[in-house]
Amino acid sequence: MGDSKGGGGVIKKRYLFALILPLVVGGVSLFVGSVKVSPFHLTGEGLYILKTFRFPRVVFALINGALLGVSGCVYQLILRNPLADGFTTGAAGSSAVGAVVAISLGLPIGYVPVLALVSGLLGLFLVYRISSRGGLINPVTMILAGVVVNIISSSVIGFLKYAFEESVTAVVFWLMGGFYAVSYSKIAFAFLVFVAGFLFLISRGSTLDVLSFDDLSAKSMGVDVDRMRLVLFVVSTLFVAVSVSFCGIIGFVGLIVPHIVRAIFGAGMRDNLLFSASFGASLLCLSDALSRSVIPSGGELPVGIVTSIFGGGFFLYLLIRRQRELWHV
Amino acid sequence: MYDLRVSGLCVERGGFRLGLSRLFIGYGEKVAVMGENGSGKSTLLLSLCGMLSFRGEVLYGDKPVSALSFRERARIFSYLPQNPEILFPYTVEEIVSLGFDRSDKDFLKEVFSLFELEAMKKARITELSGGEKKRVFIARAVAQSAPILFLDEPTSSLDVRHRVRFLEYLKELKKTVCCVMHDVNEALRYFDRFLFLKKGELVYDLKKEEVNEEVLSDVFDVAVSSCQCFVFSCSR
Repeated sequence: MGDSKGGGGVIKKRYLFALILPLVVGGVSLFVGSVKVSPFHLTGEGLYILKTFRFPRVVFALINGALLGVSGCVYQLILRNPLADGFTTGAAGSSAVGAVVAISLGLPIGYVPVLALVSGLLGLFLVYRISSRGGLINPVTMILAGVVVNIISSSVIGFLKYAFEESVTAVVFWLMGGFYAVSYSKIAFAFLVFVAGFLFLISRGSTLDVLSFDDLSAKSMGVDVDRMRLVLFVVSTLFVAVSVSFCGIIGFVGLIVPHIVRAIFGAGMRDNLLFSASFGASLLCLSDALSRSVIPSGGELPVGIVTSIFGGGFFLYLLIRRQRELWHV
Repeated sequence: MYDLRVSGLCVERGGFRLGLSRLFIGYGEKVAVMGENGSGKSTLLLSLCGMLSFRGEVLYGDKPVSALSFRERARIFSYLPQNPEILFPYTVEEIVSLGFDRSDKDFLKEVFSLFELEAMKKARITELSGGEKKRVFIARAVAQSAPILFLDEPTSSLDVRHRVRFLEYLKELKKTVCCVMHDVNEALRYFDRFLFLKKGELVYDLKKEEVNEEVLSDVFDVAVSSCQCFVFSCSR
């Protein structure tokens, strides 16, 4: 749908902006942190910090932000709910259960995203079944079901921490959400998942636009709604599961970003996906930069706390501002 | 461009059952589907275009509708549900163009003009009134340019002028049109054939000339008498 807006030049500028924004944000945040590194007076120590710590961390934050932004965009579409994202649907919480099981049992790192995906899909499917009746999804029930899944997930994780005491430190550290344990293999894996899923979603842009209609209209326009929704469930939950597996639960990026993008660029899904990736990457990278520079003593906050502060406020704003609309869908 | 043939149709939705032993709708016919609330009008339309699972047979030409893929069905049937909606604030132009065959731009212009949507092409759907939204959704269904149109209460919430413009357009359209209607007088003016449903059964299948007080009284369980009524037309 993006091609229906403005001339070719405008389109190219918009897409160029989508590409450049995260690069600029990433570039700037390389020089933000507890240890001051100046781009104008780069010392050997500064270069070491950049190469060893900041660069992989910034790249990882960008990829995870893109994963979360795009997953939120898809969740809001398939669950027909502007309040949906990986966190509010319970997908992140239930993915975390799988990841904690893998960590607690000391399984190889490759098993973490696999178990996270399986448990994430189970949690999301449960939320979907609870909140849908006669093919219609009640947005309020969905959020309540998401809360329930999150509570159950927390209980299961609490039990696992109790049962596997020796893994408690690793699990607690990981659960707070952050980019402490970055490795190039994780970056490569997350990047590959993102590129494959994103290209698939972009190639189905028109179908996703049709899914914005009610199910009957969408079916009459040639889309196998049930099958497509299932595929989109898997892709978006895979995105959340990969992010949760490597960085813990980082809430609300997927909630905020698609709303901002829609307000600026309109509702077309191709644009929405592209800019949700771009803005999601930038937002998480900025949040991470903030999290590692906000404490004067040189410590750092888990990035999940920073995004939750922004996201919680935005969530409240949506609830109050769009109350009538949401309650009457 | 084929006819529709139905035989032994049986649809069950919750506690409701629609049964229809035989029906033939010739290509180009203008059919009004009428009956009380809950008589099965929407269920009939949904079954005919293959969107509900059913027992029996619905053939488009010699092809069973249920065997067609979603894409194939979209090329044959254009369907407007009773309460169409869209989740995000798409523009009018984007909505009408979705599912439209982009090779025929003149037809798209014709559709925008028919529904007087040119001035609001760039408006977001959330900015429009209920009637304007309905015009956009009808325009979307018409722009799909399928040979058979199934429209579920298309004129509800349209003002008089837009109702008349649209129904006059449908009357002249060289396509099969099957519409759920509630206004009997309006339907009698624009449709040639009437399917009256009652409690999930086709009780009358009549030509326009055959519809009378007795039939209407029987279908709607009310006293019916003819009297003067106003007739609207686009030409003044």
